[in-house]
Amino acid sequence: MRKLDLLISFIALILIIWTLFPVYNMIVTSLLTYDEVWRMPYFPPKLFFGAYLEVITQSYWRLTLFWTWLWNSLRISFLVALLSLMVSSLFGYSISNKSSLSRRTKDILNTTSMLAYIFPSSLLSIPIYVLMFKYNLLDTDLGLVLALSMLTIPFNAWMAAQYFNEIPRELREASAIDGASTLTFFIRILLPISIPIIIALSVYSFMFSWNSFLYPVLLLSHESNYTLPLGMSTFLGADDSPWNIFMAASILYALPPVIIYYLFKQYLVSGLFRGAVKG
Amino acid sequence: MKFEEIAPLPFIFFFIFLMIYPLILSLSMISFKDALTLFGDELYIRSLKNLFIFIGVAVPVKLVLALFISAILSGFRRNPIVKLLGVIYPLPWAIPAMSAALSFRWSLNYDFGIVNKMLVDLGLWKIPWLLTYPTAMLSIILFHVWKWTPLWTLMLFSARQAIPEELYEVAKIDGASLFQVFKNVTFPLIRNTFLVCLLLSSVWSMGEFEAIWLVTMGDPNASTHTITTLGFREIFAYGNLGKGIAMYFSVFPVVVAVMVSIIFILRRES
Repeated sequence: MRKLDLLISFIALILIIWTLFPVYNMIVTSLLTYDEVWRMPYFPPKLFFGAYLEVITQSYWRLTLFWTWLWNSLRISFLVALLSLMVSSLFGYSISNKSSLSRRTKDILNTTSMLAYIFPSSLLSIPIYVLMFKYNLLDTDLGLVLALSMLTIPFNAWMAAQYFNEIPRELREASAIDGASTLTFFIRILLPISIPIIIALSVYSFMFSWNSFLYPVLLLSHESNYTLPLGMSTFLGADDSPWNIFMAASILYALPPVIIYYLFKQYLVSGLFRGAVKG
Repeated sequence: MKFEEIAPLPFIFFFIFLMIYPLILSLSMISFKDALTLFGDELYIRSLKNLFIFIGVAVPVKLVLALFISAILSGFRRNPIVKLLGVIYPLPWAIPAMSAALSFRWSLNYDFGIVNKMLVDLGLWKIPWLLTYPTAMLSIILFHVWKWTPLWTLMLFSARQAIPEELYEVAKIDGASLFQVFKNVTFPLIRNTFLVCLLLSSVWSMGEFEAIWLVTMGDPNASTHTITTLGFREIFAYGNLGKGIAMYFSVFPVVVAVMVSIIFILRRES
C-alpha cells in the first residue's frame, strides 16, 4: 500500500500544480515591472507593487474607471443575490414537502425549474438581448439584474427545496396547532432556521453574477455602466501591453469570489451535496 | 389566495417573461432566407465541426478527470497531499473566467509566455499555442477543462459520500482489488449521477462561450469559432441579427433532446 500512496501523492501533486499554474502566472506577472514582463522570469526579482498601484489609482489609461466598474459589479451582484434569494426561496418552499400544493402541481413546477436550470445560459443570451432591446432595458441595472437572476433562480430553488425537505415535519404541525398561518410559518420559523441555505444561495448567485461576462457584454453599452470584466475585456487582443497591470487587475477582480468561496465553503458544499445526492 | 399558491408565482413570472417569451420573440425574427444561408456558410459548417471536436474532447476529459480526482479525494483522505488537493481543486470554479483566461492567454504567448519559456528551458521547442488552428483549439479545451473539472469533481465526490462505508469494508475483506471495487461497488452506485453529469456537461458545453471568446476570440483567422461565438460575431460585428439567431437555434434540436433525456433520468430516479 505504501507504493500506491506514493503514486497517489505524486498524481495529486501534479493536479495541484495544474490547478495553481494560471494563478501562479498571474501572481508572478503582477509583481513585475513593465520591463521585466518581457523577460518573463519564473520568480519576481523583487516584490514590486507598482502594477497594483497603477490599477487602484486608475492611472493606467484602460482602467480609468476601475472603481466605477468595481462598484457596478458589486451593486449588480448584490441585487441579483437579493432578488434571486427572494424568488427562489419562495419557489423552493412551494415545491418542497412543506407546502400543501398537490403532488401534480409540484411535479409540473419541478420539471419547469429543471428545464430552466439545464438550458445552456448562453443560448438564452441573444433572446434576452432581443427582449431587453424591445423593452428599452438595455444598459440598465434592472435589465441585467433580471437576466442574471433568471439564470440563478432554478438551481437556487432546487437547493432551497432540498433544504426545506429535511426540516422535520413536526415543526410545521406544531406551528399549525399554535394557529400560525403558512405565511407566518414561512417568515417566522422556516426562514430563521434556514440561515445556512440562505448564505449558500446568496453566495452562489453573488459569485455567478460577479464572474459572468457574456450577459454584461450583451446588455451594457456605456463605459460608465460596465461591470469589471467588461472593462477588462479591452485587454484581450492587446498583446503588446503592460501584462503586469493586466494581471494585477485580474487578481484584484478574482479576489472577492475566491475569498467568499473559502469563507463560506461549508455552506456551499453542503448545499451542493444535498442536491447531488438526490440528482 | 393562499400563500402557498402565491409563492411559486414570481418564478413562473420569470420563467414566462425571461425565458419562454424571449425565445419565441427571437425565433420569430429568423427568416427562411437566414436559415437557408447557414448551409452555404463555410464558417458555420466549420464552427459546427469545432463544436463537435470541443465536446468530443472536453466532456470525456473533464468527466474522467473528475471521476479520478473524486476517487482519490474520497479514497485517500489521510494522505496530506490529497488533503491539500481537496482544498485547492475548487479554485478554478471560483476564479472568474475573465481573470483566468487572461492568464492563459499571457502564459501561452508565443514569444513571452511562461509555458514556451519552460519548454525551451527543458530543451524542447516553442509551441505556437494561439497562433495555429489545432493548438488554439487545444488551448480552448485546456482552459475549459481547467475551469470546469472542479464542478463535476464536486458532484461526483458528493455522490460517493452517499455510499455506505460498510460496502467498502466488505469488499476489502473479500480481497477485491481497487479496480474491482470501483467496477463492482462504486460505479454501479454513482452510475446515474455520472450519466446525469455527462449529459449536463455535454449540453452546457454546447453553450460554452467564454472559453472560446476569451481565450482565442475565434482566431486565428476565425478558425476556432463555435456556434455561440460565431452567432455573437454575426450579430454584433456584422449586424445580421436574423442569421445570428438562426445559428443559435440550429443547435436547439440536440439541446432539447439531451435536456429531455436528463429530465427523464432524474424523474425515473425520484
